[in-house]
Amino acid sequence: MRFSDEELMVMFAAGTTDAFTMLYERYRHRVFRFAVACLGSPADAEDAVQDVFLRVAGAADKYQPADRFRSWLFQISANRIRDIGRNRKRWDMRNHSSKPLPDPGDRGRFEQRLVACDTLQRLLAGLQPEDKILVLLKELEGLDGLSIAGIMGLTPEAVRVRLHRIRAVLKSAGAVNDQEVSKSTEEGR
Amino acid sequence: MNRNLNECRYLESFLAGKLNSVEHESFMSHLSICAECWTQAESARTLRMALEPFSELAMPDDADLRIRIALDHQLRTPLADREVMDIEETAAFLGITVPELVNCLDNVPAFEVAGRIRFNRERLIRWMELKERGLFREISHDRSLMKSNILTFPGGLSDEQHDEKANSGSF
Ligand SMILES: [Zn+2]
Repeated sequence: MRFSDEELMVMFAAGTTDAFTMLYERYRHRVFRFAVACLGSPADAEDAVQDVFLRVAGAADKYQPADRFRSWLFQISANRIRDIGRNRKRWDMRNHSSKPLPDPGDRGRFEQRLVACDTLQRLLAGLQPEDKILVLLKELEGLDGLSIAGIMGLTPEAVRVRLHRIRAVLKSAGAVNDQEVSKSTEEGR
Repeated sequence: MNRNLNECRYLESFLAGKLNSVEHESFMSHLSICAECWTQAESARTLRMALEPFSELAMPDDADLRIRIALDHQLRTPLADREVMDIEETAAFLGITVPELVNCLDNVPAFEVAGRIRFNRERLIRWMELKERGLFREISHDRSLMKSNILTFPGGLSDEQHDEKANSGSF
């Protein structure tokens, strides 16, 4: 039997720690992806995941069963990502973490991650942190306008308008990226 | 123009893949004549391509293990027994407010990890003991001054004063 997120959260609040472990396993990678995409650094994202789930565990008594767990989780995630971003002042990928990997077998995958991060961060470079969070909730996490509005404290209409504006900014960033790519390809010849 | 604007309204549904085949077909032809929608769709496509590698991105095993240990620790350990505390927990632990703690950060043993201030509970306890001893020394110093005044008065010592005299060598 598969419990809903909300049921698991209620069970956890009532003292079943296994329910929390199940929620962690359901969402750890998703929160990680969201944090990597926002912060541009896998090491920062790992910290964010730890922080988010510690907060969720600590705030279980504040969770309202009527609220959707996923929105609540990503609201906490967005808050922690804002804090980390503010504290470290590196919302872009220019400062790669130099944290070594314990398992050399992971290195190939890790390098791939960094390339993907780099490409994304160049594309998102022109956005404000809040707009990055908003557009990634939409395009990476696949949340609808209403959920995003709840998470960001905006009206659904404001979310729609901002998405429109963000896409206009991204289009020009994408065009610049394309030019850079073709230029470097030509230079490489 | 009206027809164009009406079609523009389907942009979000188009991007969300929620149009049926007839609506989809119609919107595709709209895209070829509406620069605004085309820009929006193209931008969404560019972003989705950049996000594609993220769809299979998993947290590394070492980070997962570290987080599980931290979570396990928090789930099993009440606040009073936690070894490492953040600023809110430490303020609560010391019985002061967060701003008060921030004001005296130079004096409280703390360390920085990943850009955030953390406190080791054991070190805090040792620090408190030292502070307590310092305070006690001050108090007992004041008291011994008082006592020396008392001793100038004629008459014997009370039991308490005997004890105080006997212990005075330890400080
Ligand atoms: Zn249009």
